[in-house]
Amino acid sequence: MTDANPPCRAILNAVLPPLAVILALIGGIELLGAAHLLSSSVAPPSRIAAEMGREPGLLWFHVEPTLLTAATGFVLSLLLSLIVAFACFVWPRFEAVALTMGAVMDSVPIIAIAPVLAIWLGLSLPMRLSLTVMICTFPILVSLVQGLRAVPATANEMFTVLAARPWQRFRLLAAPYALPYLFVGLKAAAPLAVLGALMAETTGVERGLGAFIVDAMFGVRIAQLWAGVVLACLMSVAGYALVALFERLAMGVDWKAA
Amino acid sequence: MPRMLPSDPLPDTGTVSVQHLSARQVSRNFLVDGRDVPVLAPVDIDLAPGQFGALIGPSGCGKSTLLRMIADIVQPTSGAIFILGQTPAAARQRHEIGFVFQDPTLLPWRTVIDNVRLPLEVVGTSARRSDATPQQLIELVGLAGFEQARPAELSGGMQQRCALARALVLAPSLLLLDEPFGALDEITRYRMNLELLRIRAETGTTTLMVTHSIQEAVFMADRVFVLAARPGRIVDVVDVTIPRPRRLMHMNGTDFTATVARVRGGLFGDARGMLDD
Repeated sequence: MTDANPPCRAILNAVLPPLAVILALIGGIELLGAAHLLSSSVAPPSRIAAEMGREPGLLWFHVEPTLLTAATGFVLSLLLSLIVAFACFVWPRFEAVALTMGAVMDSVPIIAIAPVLAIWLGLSLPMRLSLTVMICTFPILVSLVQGLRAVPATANEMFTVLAARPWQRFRLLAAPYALPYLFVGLKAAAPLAVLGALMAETTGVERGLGAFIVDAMFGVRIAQLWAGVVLACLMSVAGYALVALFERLAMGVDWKAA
Repeated sequence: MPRMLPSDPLPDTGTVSVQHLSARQVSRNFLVDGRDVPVLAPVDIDLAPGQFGALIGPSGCGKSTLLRMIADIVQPTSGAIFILGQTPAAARQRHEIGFVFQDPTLLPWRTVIDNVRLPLEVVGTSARRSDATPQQLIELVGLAGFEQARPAELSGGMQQRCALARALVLAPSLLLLDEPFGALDEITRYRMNLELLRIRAETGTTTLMVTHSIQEAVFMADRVFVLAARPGRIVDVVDVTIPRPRRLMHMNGTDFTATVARVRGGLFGDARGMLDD
């Protein structure tokens, strides 16, 4: 990208090629459908779109709790990671404990633990949030802990000479250095938050995109099933894009030309 | 001209207070592959208030370690260091020490003026002992007009000027420099050295600088500590009698040449300093 290019041109250059590929894929599947070459388990894009437009109210009825669970769970994971990472920063010995426990928590198959949590906490919001937090905390925590260690040795020595307190060292030095790392973790966690929310909704709750999909599966309503899948994908992509936008805002201001 | 000396009266500590900085039998060992290896054998250092000292020696002679022990970044294995009669830890807590690293160590997301302000943010403005504002210091180091620039937009020399202003913002009584201009080309290095001498003439700060260059050590310092390696130790202390203010033409004088020869002799183990290098 050269300076002569206006920024909107650069954005177009980044967006247009993948957009063209996606449109071509959608068009291709539609053509296959029109030629009756698709399996009966695959709904052509036009039927999925029609299904979505049929009852928008019902769709939102199911999308809303999923969005709420994913977004709240994501924010809770971020807060939890910040607290644990700060503790690791102040007490380096705690780091191994925190990362080991995080790895154990992360290695528990979410599909296996979901019924356990459902029995323990009921089909409640806390159950759905717990599952979401379980699945998306670890990537955030690992990237944050790694980022907090990315401070150059001499910068740490400079803060020692200044007799800085741990909180000042964290706020003025380590946290800004950890920011690029943190966003890597957040980008990985955003789709995971949607996955956690969906998973929690397959345990028998009445509302939610997960329940919507399971319901469509048992009724063999192919178009509804695919509508649910497309909505879940859009949610994950939107989450990722939102994080990327925040990253651009945060780094654009603070790391300009860095 | 900004007043840069601490306003507090110097503590009365008897004989030690004659020196601004003194190190007594200070040594440091490091663990290498489970073995305790002496990096620095016991050394003595004395610098009077306002004096400029230079530490010169080959790589691995412990000169950077010595500087870090004075700044209370690294703890000595044995011996004691006094800064105005206090321990390095106390001097550091009282912000008596300014440190310039070989790497400018600027925070890349901060502008020049915000980097210079950083120590005030950490310490709190109540601890300020200097009348010099960050803006005045930026002018003092010749960065006027670049207040809002980011470090990445500056050349190496300008970044180091910024680091120097940051080290001076708390008006330290002792300035420690670890090969501050070692990464710069020779022309820029001598320009920066002359600037440093000019700034020091204004502030009167006691200074200790680590360097690799014999000429630089002799040109800058009142007293050159010559170190040898394995283990690091002081083999000669050379007092430089060239008058101040120093100018580049002093480097052509016989005084300068003779002092350089003596330092070189210490470095290469030849008392007459006639060895070719």
